[in-house]
Amino acid sequence: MQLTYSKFEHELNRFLKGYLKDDSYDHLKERLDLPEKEVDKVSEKINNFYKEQLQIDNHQSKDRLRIDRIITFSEKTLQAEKFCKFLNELARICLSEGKLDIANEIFRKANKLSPSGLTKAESLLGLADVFSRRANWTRSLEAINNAKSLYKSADDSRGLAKCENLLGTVYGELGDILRAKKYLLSSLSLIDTDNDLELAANLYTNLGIVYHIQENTTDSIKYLNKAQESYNILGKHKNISEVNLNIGIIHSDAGNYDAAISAFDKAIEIAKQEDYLSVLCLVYLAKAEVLLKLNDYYYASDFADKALEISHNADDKLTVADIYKVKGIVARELNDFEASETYLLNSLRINNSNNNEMNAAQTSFELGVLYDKINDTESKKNHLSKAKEYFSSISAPAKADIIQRLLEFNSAS
Amino acid sequence: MNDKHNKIIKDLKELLNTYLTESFAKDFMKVLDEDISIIANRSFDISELDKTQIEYEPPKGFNYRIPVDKILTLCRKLITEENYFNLMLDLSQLMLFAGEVSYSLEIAENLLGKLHSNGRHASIKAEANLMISKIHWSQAYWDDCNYFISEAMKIFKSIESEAGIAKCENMLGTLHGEKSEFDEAQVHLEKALKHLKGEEDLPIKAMILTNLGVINTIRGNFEKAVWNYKIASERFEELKDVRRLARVYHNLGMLYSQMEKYDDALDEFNKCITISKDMDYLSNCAVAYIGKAYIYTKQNNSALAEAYTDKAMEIAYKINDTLSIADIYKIKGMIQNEMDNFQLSEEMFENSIRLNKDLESKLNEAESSVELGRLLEKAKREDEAKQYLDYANKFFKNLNGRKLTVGLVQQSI
Repeated sequence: MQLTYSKFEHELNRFLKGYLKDDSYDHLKERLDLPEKEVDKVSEKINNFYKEQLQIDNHQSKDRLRIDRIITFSEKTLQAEKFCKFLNELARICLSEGKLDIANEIFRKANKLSPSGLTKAESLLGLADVFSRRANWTRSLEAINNAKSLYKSADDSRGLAKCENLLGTVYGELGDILRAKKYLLSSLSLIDTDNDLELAANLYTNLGIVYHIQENTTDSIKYLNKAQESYNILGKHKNISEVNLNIGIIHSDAGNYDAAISAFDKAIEIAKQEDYLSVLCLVYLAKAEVLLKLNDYYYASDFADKALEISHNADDKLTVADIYKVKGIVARELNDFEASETYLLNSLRINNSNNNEMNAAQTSFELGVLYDKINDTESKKNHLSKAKEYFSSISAPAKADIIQRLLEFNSAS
Repeated sequence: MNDKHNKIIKDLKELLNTYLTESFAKDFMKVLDEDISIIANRSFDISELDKTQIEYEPPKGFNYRIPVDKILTLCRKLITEENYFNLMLDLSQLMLFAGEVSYSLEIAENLLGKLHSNGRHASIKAEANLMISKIHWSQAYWDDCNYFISEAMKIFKSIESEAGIAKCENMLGTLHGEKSEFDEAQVHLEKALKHLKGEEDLPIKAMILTNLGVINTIRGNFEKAVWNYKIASERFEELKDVRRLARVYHNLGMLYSQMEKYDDALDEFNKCITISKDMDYLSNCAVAYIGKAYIYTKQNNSALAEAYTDKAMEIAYKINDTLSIADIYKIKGMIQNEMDNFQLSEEMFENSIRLNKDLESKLNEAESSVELGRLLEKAKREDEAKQYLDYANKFFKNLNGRKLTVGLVQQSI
């Protein structure tokens, strides 16, 4: 990606000159400008199929106009309770399309106008979802707990199950996998899985992810297949793309790269068709990671850049951090060690700021590999030890073993 | 209508079908499917300046992300902790002006998180709270804005920072101003001035004077407003603060619009846009484009007015400036009225009123109510018109004979 923001760059430079000494400024400038140009030149040769996969329309102000017209019209037409239910569903549509700001605005409106505890609880859960996508964990947990109280007082076990499910995903994002699993299983126990296919399928998907992190592939696949079955019955295409994404990740981690790419391509096809940007972004990133493993660095870089565009616009900080990790690996494999270090440190900084222990550990692992390559033994040991400590704590022994071997390899050399 | 919009419309239609009666849903979908643009098939005279402004392509925000993230990662090791924190504040401010609201908030919240954990740098901590209040203010999240001003105020008081207290009073003034509580706003702004003494406080004084200019304009005290803006613009010129200077130009444009000196107003809006477009200060661009659209509506140039509102909408959506979006709907309503498209005009005014009501912006709600009232009178629906006009008259009574329609968004600092 070439630097195309000359006016902006000019302003940044002015800022930096005020903060840095001349030599530091020159050094920083060098690192800011260096790495991406080569990647861009080569990626012009990207094949047509990939080009088509990366083409999305992001021009969305007309959607806002439509949504506003619908709300104004419905407010005049519907009774208060029904209107608030309607708002909650409308906000959910916006959320799945990555329109976080407008979803937030609509959930807030529903929350303010809700005449009953149940619609208020629903809007609180929606707000919790928005906050968690923005990695604002405190406010997300606060909103879930408020929703939980409302569902409890209405003796609504399905509502409580939804709260437990969201708690599971929040703790999963935070990297507290054991706690996440506990909440997801508790949620599953609160519903009748035969009659509540959608919530059950959501839980199966989340459990599939948790079991995969814990390296229990059999249970992971079992839950993801169950989820896919239910979504097929319900015709929930968007969710099917999410399941395909997770199946692809399992294949990728098992080294079955062709199967992984095939699953990701299915996921991309559906997510593009459905404008499911929040998942499309994750699939782009996952595809970038598998392309990396296949040593297709330039394609990997293009997918990562496209994912960065979507995740930045959707304020999805955790995905941004993951993308920096991929860009760091690309640079490392191209022997651009300075750029690699910067990207990986970006990733680590953002994950640490957002208390995302698991992603921070994964980035620490990649930093360890980088420092091994450039013979910085102390930094290598420091980062790998942190990563190992985390993976041991969440019952992921294979990953911990790989790290231990890398640590020992260093000690022997 | 392109394919992209058919996809979201599919979801929206399904939702409407669930909630509305069949006939209501059918009628509304028909309206929703109509292309409301009046410029699509019309050619119109346009100056070179207007052409460049309408063709302005706002930068893609994610291009900022990589250099700013690199700076944040690399500077941590290059400068002192205190300097690093100040750099974060400056970057957050810069991103806000550039319309990267979520990213601006991410940086400021990250800073606050670091300050919470180290317990030092009280003044920077207060500034970070104030910065976050400003970001929430820009999104019309008044409660959050108020909370963070209080936090900043507490800290500034504890360290006896008169300039800091003045900044908080200024922010409280702008907050009350946005909610149309002009008496409270003026009290806070005057209190702010009393906290300032020395030469070093001149930039803050210029900000406060600008905001007093806004209040004086709204109250019809034009001479005082001109005087406020003259002093403020001289200060910003001395300080080479072009961002704030551009905002003063916008506010002068607003003042001349209210005085019905439309050519002078256009000159000021153009000055604001020239600076803001050149530096990609999107928040300034959105409001100044609305200002020009309003004037072109008054000059019966509907096609050009529409082109400016569409551009303003694109920018306002990007930066999630809901107050501007509400104003855009009002001007779209005026344009449709001019084209004798009463139904759509009514709908646009209703959108504007609904949003302003949600945002507690009473002045703008009253202004849109006047427009809708007049439209309904024209359509011989006097009873319906009366309730809107009564509401507006009651509101404007308290503003000492202020002219009924200004139609512009003021830009506080």
